[in-house]
Amino acid sequence: MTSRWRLLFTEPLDGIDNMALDHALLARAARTGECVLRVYSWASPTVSFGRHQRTAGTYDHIALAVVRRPTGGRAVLHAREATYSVTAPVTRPLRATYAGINSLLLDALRRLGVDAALAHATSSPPPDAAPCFETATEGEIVVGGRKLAGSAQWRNGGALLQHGSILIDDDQSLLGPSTTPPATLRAALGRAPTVHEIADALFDAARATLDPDATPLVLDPEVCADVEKFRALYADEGWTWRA
Amino acid sequence: MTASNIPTDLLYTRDHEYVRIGADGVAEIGITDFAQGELGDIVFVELPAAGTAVSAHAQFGTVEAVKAVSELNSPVTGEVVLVNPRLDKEPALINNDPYGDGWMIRVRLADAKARDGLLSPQAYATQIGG
Repeated sequence: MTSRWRLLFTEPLDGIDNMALDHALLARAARTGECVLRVYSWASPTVSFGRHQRTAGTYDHIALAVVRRPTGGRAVLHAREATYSVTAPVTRPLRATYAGINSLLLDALRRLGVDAALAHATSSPPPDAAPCFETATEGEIVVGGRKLAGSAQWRNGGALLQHGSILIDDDQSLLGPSTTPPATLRAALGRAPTVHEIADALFDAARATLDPDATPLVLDPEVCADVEKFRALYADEGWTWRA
Repeated sequence: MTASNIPTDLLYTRDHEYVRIGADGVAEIGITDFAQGELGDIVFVELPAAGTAVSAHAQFGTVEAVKAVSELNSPVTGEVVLVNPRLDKEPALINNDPYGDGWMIRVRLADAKARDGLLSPQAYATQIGG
């Protein structure tokens, strides 16, 4: 990849703002041709649903904040984790893009001292299957065969958004009984790294493998205006609750 | 990798949709063999209801594969007259038979210029390097 990369760390936001900002960064990628690696977290524990998941009648009982992502995949509880997003122009096929970003995650995790690997091929689960961290799909990050990071993607208007969660601790059981608990950074490292520490590892990996001149991104008025515009979508009950 | 199937009786878009324009002014739309191969196992497709107006180059639906959502853009302008009823339960038809049972929507064309801007099979083959 020879694209120009920018790096962005954001303080904890609620689900609506987190999704609106990722959406605005996708629009920025389409507009500028630049790629952005963002690392973020959540102001309170939040369940995010996949774009096509049925939620009404299934998740109504959850007493946590909820938001629907623009990306595919299944439900994720965002609590003790570091979340990343990559926004970029579409230059490669879907699986090649996943492979490239997963390699970045793997590099960053190894910098933290985690003995992580890429999962082997499995069939792709439908959006209404079990929660996201139950199964790893091909190329996702696993430790000891259990999923540590889950990712999903959206392609629109010549740009892509891929975002995902790297678990520091396991809170996924709050979504329901789990047959295969995920891996966590705490278990892998014997301690819980901070989101800042994980962000530094990701940014170091990006500078080492993608763009040695990657610089911090300062949000410009156009991105901020887009965030305001997209907030309305992610706050819409009709978008979130789908039968 | 096997070469993608590009039927010679269809027209195509740069976004990998195909159009089969019938003599009755109705166009059948789906995604190409190349597109389904690039996406992988399709697990969900969201399509507009019959009666919906669609515009050339504008989004008409989404498809999900490998936890990735991709937008579907209409090759033509017109009104949806039929949606493939099988895809709700059998989205894999798009992988298995993209030009047959995996068709997505049928659109009554708004005007005779529907072919403008569409790619010939040869031009589409060149675009995907086939």
